[in-house]
Amino acid sequence: MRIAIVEDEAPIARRLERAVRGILRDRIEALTLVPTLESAFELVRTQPLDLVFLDLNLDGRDGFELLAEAAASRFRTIVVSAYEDQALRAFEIGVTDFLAKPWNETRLRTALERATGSGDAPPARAKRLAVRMGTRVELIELDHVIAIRGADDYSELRLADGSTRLHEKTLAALEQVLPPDFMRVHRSWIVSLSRVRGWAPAPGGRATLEVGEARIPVGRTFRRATIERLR
Amino acid sequence: MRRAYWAGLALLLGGCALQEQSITPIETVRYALGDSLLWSRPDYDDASWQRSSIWSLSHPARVLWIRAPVTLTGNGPFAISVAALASHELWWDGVLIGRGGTVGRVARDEIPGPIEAEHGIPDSLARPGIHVLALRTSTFHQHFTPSSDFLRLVIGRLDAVALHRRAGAWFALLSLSGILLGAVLAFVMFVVNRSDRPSLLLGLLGLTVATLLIVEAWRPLAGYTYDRHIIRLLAICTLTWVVGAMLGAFVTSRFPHRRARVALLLLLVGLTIPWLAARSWNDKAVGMHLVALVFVAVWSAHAATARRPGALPSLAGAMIAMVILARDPRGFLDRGYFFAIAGLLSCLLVGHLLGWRREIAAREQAVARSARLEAEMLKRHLQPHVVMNTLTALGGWVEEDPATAVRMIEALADELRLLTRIADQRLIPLADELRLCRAHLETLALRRETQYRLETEGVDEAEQVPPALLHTLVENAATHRPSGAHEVTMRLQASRRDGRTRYTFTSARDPRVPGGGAPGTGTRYLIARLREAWGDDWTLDQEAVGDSWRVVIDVPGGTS
Repeated sequence: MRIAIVEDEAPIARRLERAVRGILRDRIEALTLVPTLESAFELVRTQPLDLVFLDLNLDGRDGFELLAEAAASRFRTIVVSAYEDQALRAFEIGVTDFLAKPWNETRLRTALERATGSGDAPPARAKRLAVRMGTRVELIELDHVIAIRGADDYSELRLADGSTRLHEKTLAALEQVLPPDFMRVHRSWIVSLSRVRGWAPAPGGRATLEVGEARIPVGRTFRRATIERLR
Repeated sequence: MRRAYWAGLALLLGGCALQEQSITPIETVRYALGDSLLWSRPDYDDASWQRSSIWSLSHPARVLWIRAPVTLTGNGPFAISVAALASHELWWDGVLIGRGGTVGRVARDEIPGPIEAEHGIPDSLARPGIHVLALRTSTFHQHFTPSSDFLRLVIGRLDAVALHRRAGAWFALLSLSGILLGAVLAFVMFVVNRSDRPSLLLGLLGLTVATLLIVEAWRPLAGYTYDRHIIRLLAICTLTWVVGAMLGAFVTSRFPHRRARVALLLLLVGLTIPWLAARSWNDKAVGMHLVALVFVAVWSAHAATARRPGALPSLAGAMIAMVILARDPRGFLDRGYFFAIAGLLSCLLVGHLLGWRREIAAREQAVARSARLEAEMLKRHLQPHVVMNTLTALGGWVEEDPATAVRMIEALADELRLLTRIADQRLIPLADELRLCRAHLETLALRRETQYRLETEGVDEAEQVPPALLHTLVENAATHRPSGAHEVTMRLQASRRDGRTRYTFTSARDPRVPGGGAPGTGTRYLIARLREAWGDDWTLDQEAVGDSWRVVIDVPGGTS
């Protein structure tokens, strides 16, 4: 696992590093400490990462820009901050977890389990998805998203106006942060249930959903749960 | 008595109308130097005597006879009021009907008479028709030469003449009661707030004016022999000069200006000029009043243009007084002055109360602001994110190096102890402020593993500054240090000039953080603290200079 800790207070960064190493042990492939916002931007854009611990207030500057950048990236983000009032904002943009300073080991362990997919999902509160568009990051309201298709190690967002956006996160990573209205209906599809206009049975125990103008397939293993939710 | 009381009340309410109808001043007389009892006789032919207006009659130090025909109409009893800077004998149709002192042909023979006297005309001599009044006078004890106005004669009904004599006293006493009340109020205001100098000056001014009014009223009320008149004139002029000076002191104190001392000096010179230059005592006093009123009007007008509270009532009071003076300069001291000074002092008091009310509101606001600032200062340092970050870093040091953790706890405790001690102060010694900053930087250094240096130059640590003034600058500089910097130097320079101190604070800044724009929380705190400490008498400028951030604060205090 490739991890970065973005934190400008060295004793705090070192303490977090010790704790993370103590929990993940040999699952850590690389762990980098990043003390400034600039080097953090550089790192997340150039290095392949799986998990980033992000302090939102570096050198007195608001790290929201970096937060949006992180949320648009394929890696998972755990915000580590003393500003607890920023937790909501972080969750709304789709971070994996929010760790309030000073943390304890139990809470850090829970966050790491969520980030590695081995624990309970955190309360899904995302309202927007950050999508990288060239050099900038666009925030897309989830109200505009009708469905998401998984494609290899990225996802394709289908929007209500017929346009699409590519998201760097996998479908599994996105599923973790999306609110309950979004449901996995297929190995490669997540749909917004409020956008489903109808469904029809399909051969082989499958089904098809009418979502906007699109037809979304429902996998055999997802069919029953999907139809129950729709009823 | 009852009649006189009602007449007095009517006089007060109706002004001089009644009095003017019931008495007749004698305005033209014939006079001759020398002495002969024949000159008292009604049939004596005085056609060869000099004829003169009674106002312009002058009196050398010898015996002087004055004669005038008088016409009586209606029923008596009648009386004659003699106001003279002389001893006198009053003859009516050749009969001696009254005397004031003893008239003498040489000084040793003369016994000074009262300056005000009333003589009743016997009913047997008061039949309607033309009568001859003769006045034999001597003035060996005047001690000065009045340029004019040494004699006034008024004839009329007995009660009206008595009332006429006391009319001046009525006006004076009427003003006196109001002025004393105002003075007491001003003194109470001063007792409530001992630093309220204008209230003290207004109270003293009220007392001085009251003294002047009593001296003015002394003549009609108590009377005295004419040889003591000079004492009263000197007292009146001295008190008028003092009142003028105190009026100036009050308005300059009430509406401060940097040239107030020079203006006051000019006023004192201006007040002295009419005293020395004017010939008559009346002109001296009127001149001094005029100078003082012009000063008050000009100073108040200037204050009014600067929208100082209470300036307009002061200006109005001075203008009204000047109008009263201009309408009747000759009778100003006898009548108009009492209304003018009472009106002026009332206006000054009203203006002062308006300003006082505003000051009380401002003081209450300041107290509330101080409490808010105290809470804000503590809140800024005890904000959850600051405390949580510090505790997290402390946890790191406990794990890594307990000795450093202990150092951090000590620095933090020192900072918090100082903060709670100074939070409710308006001003603290700079030494305490520097200690607070260094404790804060020690904590920050351990949190960020960055070296912070605070250098000082020309700083007098005994000087007073608002709490957390420098601390706010230091905190801001530490927060916005250049990204990744491991050493941050801040510099505080102090220079003093013309009784003011200029603090220049410079620190390296992060060039990516834009300067200017709307003031942040820190700047708002600085402004609020500076305003609490020095009102509007300070300046705060901040700007980016290359890679540095410079803050210049100019405040009162310090010596050149």
